[in-house]
Amino acid sequence: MVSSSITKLIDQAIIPAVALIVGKMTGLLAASALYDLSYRIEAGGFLNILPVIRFQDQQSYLVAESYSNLAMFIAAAAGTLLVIIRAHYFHQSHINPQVHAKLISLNMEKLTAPSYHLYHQALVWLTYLWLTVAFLAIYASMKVIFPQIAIIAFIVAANLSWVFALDIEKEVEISRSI
Amino acid sequence: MKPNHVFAAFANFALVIVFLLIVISPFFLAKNITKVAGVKTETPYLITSQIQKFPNVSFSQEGETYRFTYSKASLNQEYRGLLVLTNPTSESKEYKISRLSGYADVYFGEDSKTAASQIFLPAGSSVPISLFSGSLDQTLTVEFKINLK
Repeated sequence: MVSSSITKLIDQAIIPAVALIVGKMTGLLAASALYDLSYRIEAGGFLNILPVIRFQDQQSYLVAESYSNLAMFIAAAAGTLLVIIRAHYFHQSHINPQVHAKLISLNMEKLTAPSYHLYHQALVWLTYLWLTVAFLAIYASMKVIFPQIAIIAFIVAANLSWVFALDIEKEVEISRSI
Repeated sequence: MKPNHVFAAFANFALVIVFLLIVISPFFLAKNITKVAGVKTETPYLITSQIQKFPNVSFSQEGETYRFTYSKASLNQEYRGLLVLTNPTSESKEYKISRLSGYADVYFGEDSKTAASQIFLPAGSSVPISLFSGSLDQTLTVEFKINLK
């Protein structure tokens, strides 16, 4: 009937979505506080649900947008990094036996995860990560954010994807050897 | 085809849509806040009032609606340069005056004979806004809006 993979993807997509929104909002408010930017929070955004944060001048807007989008990217990168660490060190298919024994003794076996769970999670986080990079690239081309942020984001995303690809290679080798 | 296959296809399609909506939502939110904040930083026009030169005219604004209330000394009367509209952006823009109520002409320029309700303004330039009334009433109100074309 209903594809379990799609259900799993939806299940895994909610936390990253919330993380990105929280990252963006926190970044916006933190940048405004740190750089003492003058702004107003008003009602009347999209469908009168979302707040509208209005900055007085273009420079304040540029600073706030740059750091809030950077915070959004950090949220996406941190989530992806956690999944990759889990896939590298706590993957049930190739976890180090000593580490596994230690986890069991510490009653932390829940940290280990099967490939099915990890790969769905990684797919979702990497999707968010690369969409964020695309988002930053578009904004950088529109000169709404500092271009360095988009460049750094691309390098980080490429490296995380490469590290994750190594884990997939390892998984493929294991399945071939069985 | 069995009915449950139709349902499965529909359900899977709906789930894919839900998944895409969840994925897109943070970017939509981020873009929406950006857009609104950005609009504020680039006002499409600036209005400067010259109303102090006209003792029989009052000017008010409610949201995007502008209002002149005036009393006339003669049947046909022209008030030249009541306001000045400036294009503060870095590109040329076309503006349009739309009268919402009242019996008077509000136009760009200072001559009722060449009254223009639309005008193309280069970046940083200004144009006066004038009013001509030929109505029989002595005290009148006219409401209008200024839009980007």
